[in-house]
Amino acid sequence: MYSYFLGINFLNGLVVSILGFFVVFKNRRNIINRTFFLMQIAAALWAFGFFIWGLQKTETGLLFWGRFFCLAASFIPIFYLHWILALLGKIRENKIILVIGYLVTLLIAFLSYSPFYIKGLVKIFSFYPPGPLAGPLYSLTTIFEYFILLGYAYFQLFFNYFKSTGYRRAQIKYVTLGAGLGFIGGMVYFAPMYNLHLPIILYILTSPFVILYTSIYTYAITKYRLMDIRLIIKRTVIFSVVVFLITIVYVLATFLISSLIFGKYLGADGLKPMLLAGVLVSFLIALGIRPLYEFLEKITDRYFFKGEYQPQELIRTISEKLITSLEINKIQKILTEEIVKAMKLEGANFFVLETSMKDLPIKNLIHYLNQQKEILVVQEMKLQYQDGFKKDERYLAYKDLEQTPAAVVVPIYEKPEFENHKLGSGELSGLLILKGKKSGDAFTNQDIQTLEIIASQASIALENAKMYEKIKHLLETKTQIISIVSHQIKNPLAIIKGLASLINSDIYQEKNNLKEVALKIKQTTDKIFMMINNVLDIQKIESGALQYDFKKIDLRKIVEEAVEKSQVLAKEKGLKLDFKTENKGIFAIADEIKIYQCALNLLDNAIKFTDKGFIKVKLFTQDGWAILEIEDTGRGIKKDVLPKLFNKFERGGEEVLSGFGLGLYIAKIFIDAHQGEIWAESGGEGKGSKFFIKLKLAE
Amino acid sequence: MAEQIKKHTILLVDDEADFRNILKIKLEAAGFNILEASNGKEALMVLANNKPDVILLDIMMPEMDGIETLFKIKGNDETRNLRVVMLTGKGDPREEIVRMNKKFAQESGAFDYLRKETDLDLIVEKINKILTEDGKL
Repeated sequence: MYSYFLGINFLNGLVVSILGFFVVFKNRRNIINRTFFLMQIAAALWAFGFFIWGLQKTETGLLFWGRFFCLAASFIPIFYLHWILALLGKIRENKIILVIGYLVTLLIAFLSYSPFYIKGLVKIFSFYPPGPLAGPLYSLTTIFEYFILLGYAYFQLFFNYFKSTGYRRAQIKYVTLGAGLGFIGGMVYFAPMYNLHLPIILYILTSPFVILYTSIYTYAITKYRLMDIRLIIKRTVIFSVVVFLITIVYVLATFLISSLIFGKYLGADGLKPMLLAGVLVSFLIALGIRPLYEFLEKITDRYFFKGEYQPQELIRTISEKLITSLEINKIQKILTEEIVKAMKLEGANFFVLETSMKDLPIKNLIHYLNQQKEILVVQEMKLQYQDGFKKDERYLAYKDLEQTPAAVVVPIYEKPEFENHKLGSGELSGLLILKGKKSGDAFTNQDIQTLEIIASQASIALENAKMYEKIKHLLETKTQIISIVSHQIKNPLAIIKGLASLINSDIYQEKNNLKEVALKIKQTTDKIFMMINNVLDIQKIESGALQYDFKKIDLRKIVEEAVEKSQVLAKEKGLKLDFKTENKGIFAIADEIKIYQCALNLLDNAIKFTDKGFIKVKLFTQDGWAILEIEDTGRGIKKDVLPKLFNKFERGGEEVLSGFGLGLYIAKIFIDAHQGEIWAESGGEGKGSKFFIKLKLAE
Repeated sequence: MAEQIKKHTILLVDDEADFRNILKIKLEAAGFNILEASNGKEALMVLANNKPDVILLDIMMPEMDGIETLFKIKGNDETRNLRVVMLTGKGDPREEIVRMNKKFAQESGAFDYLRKETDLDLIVEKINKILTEDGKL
């Protein structure tokens, strides 16, 4: 029984101080971590004092160490109060109370070696040395510390418990509960000091848990992200058990080996075999410590942290899979599936940011993440803004997320960054949105750090995939263009060849209308040039090399020129082409050549698809816009084709019309670059069509 | 050529008026009677009242393209036996026709084809060859 109490108190001291050190080294600058450390140290000194007291044989020793642990214990309440206030962010308001608390505690410390504090020794347990007996000052101290300081700490906890919600509320609940358990357990130790005899079983049960409970439960909630504590607890547990086991194994093994093996050969001279055995055992332990640590880690993972994953493992799996993926879909799948599996999430989504996402209701979020590169933990943001945090752009980003099931948002940027815990640089290129954990646990710092690394890897993969898609798209476009060009260009070439062969035969020489044939050849050649120009434009557009020359220009002149040019073709088909506009100049900031090309393209189409009737061109101003309207009585456009009319290679729903189906696509790109609009209207097949171009008027 | 007692009739089906014109001039000069249509639908309308000796049928056309028109012509008992020469910008159209309608290609794949850029003289030659086969020349 004696050694049980001795051992337990030693272990308590060990665990408590290790935890304290881990916490303070985790973040030395944080007042919460620092005050927690102080509290743990006081508790550890109490436990160690208790342990050393148990070893004392003389009255002076017993008295000294008895005083020592009482004194150490007297510091616990003020440190606890300080910690609680730090945790609640209430230090400033309670400065005076803290100062008084510290002063009184220090005063007691000064007086602790007087007989008013500890009167003498009293024997309570038969198996344990006599302990300190409380003097009047001790009673005063106890009342002050345990009732006033602790009482105030609890009052603050309760007070804030009802004011807070969600996460914070749960934290406070556990701090109160954990600390309460610890202190109530500690109360048991007051009894002997007043010569009260409590059942021994009470001491046996409470002594090992007092500090453990206090420490683990209370710190578990000191940080928003519970994971810090997970790692700390894990290390503390493993470390303590390793130290404990090694000590036992060392002592036992040394004893056994020395007496059983060496004892026989080296005789009863105890020292030499002891030393030899010690060397041997040290060697064995040195060999065994790493496997032992790993074994314990596995066990702790399995029983304490069922949801735990190995970050390195996850990062490795993801990076291995990403390396072999070039399709965005696959990257999407790998990222979401692996993370959901490892972190045990409700789900995840991966969005590649495209211009088409401009309309999604997450504008503020995207805007914010483009400026501040950080992983957003929605729950944390919620807490902050509940606490009256400044409502800035981050708040707007939070507002975007509030109604979604997103728990964590990991932004992916164009360029990865593997240093300084940065997420990357450049524009936002993707969003990895994680839902909450199935267990309902919070995301830990470890999770966030893992996600940071994954974000960098995703960034590379995404950029590669985009590059790949772009190249694939360029190749496809090229193949398509080559196929269409080589095929479509045959028609006009066949015409030119036919005309040439007619000239060559006697037919035309007889009729003597070579001039007409020459004109036809010229027109047909123009058609070929237009096709080739379109192809060249497309190539420029695709490679991003297109330049605009914006100037203030009179649109009337440009449209008039285009109409003039088209008259020949219209006349030939027997179509009436007329142009109406206003008397005064219609000015816009535009690229002359591009607008001319657009107008010509629309006119060309109108003539091509109209067999009889007219083409009416109108250019007018309306509400600060210049509007070009080209109306024809031609074939019209099917309803389902209208929306995709301006896509590449769309040819009015029919595969075969001369021209490459590139004209409208190019026109749209040109007009978009002018921040204008281009669209078509049609009553349907056979009902003619109207094409519009809208450009902002120059001031 | 003018001495031919009965002029043979050719139906030209092509959406490109210029190309049609060239062929028309050439073929008229060669002594043929010419009917014109600018797409498949028009061609079928012409065929309702006329039985040309040869049909020159462009493949790439709006409304109803050459292949669909061919299916219609060969699917109709009245017009099944008319001789069709497909005009193609792409190359041999038979592969595509087999892909679109295997049964048709096996049962009544009776048609010829010419590339669009073929010399006009060769087109005339081809028509004459067909007429000879049919015993019309």
